[in-house]
Amino acid sequence: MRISTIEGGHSSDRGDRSLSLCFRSTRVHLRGLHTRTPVERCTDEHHLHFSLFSAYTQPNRCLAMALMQPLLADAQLRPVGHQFNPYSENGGTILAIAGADFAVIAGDTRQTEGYSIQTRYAPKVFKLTDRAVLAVNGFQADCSEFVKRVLQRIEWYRHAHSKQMPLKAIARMIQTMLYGKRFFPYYTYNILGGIEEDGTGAVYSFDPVGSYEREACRAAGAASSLIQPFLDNQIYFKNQTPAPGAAPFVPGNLPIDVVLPIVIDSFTSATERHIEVGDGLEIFIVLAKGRDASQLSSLNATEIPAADPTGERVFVVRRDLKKD
Amino acid sequence: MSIMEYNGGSVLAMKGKNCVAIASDLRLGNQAMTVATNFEKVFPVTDCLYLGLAGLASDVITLRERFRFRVNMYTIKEERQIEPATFAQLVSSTLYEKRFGPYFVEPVIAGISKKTGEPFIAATDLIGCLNFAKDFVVCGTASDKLFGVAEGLWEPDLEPEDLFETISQTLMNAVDRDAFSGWGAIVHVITPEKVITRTLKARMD
Amino acid sequence: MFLTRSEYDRGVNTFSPEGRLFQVEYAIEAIKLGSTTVGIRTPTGVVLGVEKRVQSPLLESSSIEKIMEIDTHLGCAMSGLTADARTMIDHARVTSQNHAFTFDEKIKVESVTQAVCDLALRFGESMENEDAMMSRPFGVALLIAGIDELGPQLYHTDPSGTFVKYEAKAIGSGSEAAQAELQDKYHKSMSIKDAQILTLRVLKQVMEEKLDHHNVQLAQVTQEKGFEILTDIQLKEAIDAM
Repeated sequence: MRISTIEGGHSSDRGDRSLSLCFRSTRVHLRGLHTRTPVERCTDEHHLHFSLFSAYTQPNRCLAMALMQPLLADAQLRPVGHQFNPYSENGGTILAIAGADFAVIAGDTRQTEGYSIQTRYAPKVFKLTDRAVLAVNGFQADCSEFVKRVLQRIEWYRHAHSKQMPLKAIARMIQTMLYGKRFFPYYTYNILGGIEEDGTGAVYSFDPVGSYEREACRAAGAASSLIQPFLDNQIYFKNQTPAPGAAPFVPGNLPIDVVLPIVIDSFTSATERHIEVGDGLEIFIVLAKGRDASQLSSLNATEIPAADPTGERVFVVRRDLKKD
Repeated sequence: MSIMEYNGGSVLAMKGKNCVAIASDLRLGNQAMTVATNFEKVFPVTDCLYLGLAGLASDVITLRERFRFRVNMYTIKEERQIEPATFAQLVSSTLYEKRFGPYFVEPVIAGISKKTGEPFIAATDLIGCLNFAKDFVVCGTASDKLFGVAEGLWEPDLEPEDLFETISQTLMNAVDRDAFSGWGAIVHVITPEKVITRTLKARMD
Repeated sequence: MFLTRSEYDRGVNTFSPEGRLFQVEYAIEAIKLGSTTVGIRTPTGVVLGVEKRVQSPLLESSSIEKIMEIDTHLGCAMSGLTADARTMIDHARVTSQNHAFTFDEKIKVESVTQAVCDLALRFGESMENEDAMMSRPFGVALLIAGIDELGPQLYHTDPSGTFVKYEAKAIGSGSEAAQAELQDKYHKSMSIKDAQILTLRVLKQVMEEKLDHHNVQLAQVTQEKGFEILTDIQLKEAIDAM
């Protein structure tokens, strides 16, 4: 008898965390009961909210359990199984909003594992070029690795083509990099914000395997389900009707002094209701070439020096979020 | 698939200045399939007290009838209308009776006290653990979305009309991001004088 | 002279004591046997022209292909061992497509030229861990024309892998006379039409046969239409206008 098809794994819903037996799919060959190695039980420690991993789930646990019946009789005789889970989920949340000539990219700074806080300051938002800022969220190790690789590719591009990589080129490159690991993905949710070649503010959002889209706004990460519908309402004006005779709403055209409070409110709200969000908030603001930066002075924003001081400018605002 | 997500649906209640509002979506589903779009989940208990029930539809109906019975018994025996706070205890104890074989329902209670005129909202989990909030309570498949939007839109001391806008926008924007909720919504704003009930024109997809 | 070189003629990767790579130099010589090819840059686009040597009246002149498309915004004319150009243009096309795929933008003219030149010196004895390399240098020179964010550009590449940007350049057997003529007649503010006519005139001067639409080919890269090889009708028009 061979039970190579049986793999323990992740239950597909949160309600069911029952014990399941794990087998290594290719190594376990059951020839005789007495020859079998001792067994370990495997519980579902991590539930990845990521549909790709449903491939790891047990398609027919009933069959598996039926086959296991003789083995369960004696704990000593169950086959051994280990499965290394290469992924973890480190909480936190990110968002980005595009304006006509600016983009705002923000993220909290808390890093968690389960119910513990690993650090209260782990940056999730990174300046890539003078006009591009990337926010990454998901599995912290994959995030930092991915950002390093993106920065390296941007540097190589600058050497090969003697220019800074345009925003849409970075977006496409990120897609190819993510899809390049289609079968062992980076567990990262990326949001890219910045200024396009034509001087407009832009936000690109990605899934972990590279599907991407240009949008006016996007939230991702632990509290994305809390923030995204709020942004739908406040940025896309969903379910809102203009007053009779008033101009129609145009998403992606809000002034910066409207956008920044929305960003801050989103994070304070998420901090209030989500345990994985809090501690600190970093808001990156990318201003198009020649755009007036005076509105930022009241926010205590610091400018990050640009390679070309006459082009786009990147500012960062750091604020506290609740630490409880 | 959790039993709490089998039929879908969400309920939300908010406090205002001398008023409360309670709202639900109208979807009844069978997992991903929408079965009905007129399934109200908020029911009147007295003229100024409403009960919302999100969860397994059969339990929603069963509990609605059970509470109707128990409130009627209370009214007859006590010869007075039940107070919101009292009703909340009734809900809690009714659910806890089934501690080890619970109704798969999360109730939300919204009303105004006849005695004090105080607005009252509360919610419980499926075994009756009460949560008396001073701002808003949510439950159902869109609860995390509702939390996010409500936390962003709600403010203290809203007048009835503003409370209606706030609860309507919160509900609609939250359920629009939830596959299991939506397909129309109904809102009740309860003031000491009257109850304003409105069916919202919402996204139907 | 050739006798003294013979020692260092054998290995394609062997420097002579004077520091020369003879095989590469010979490859550059091979280009001078090729038909004349002219490229002219203007503010609005680049024009490429080639002479097609029709050796026999039975030969289908349309089958001589000396101008090729690399991408919608890039074209290329060649002189020398045109068969070698296939490898290079193939590489250029792949590079350009890859760039568009990875970066969602058109590759720069200089970058595609650099990519082609990177190939040029990959000849010699291959080491075991390398996959099939070329045995000799390319025997072809290219004029790469294109338009990118820096405007219309014209590059010349030779078998040594060197590339240089030109306003106007002639290569091939008649290149010396042609280049002198270009230097004389070229001016920075030419229109595309002017450039077409100048290309034809230069070719006419160095061609042995009488120039007609069978033995020349013109192509251009413009902002509006990208790379295009002129049709027979367009070519005839240009010849008539000359």
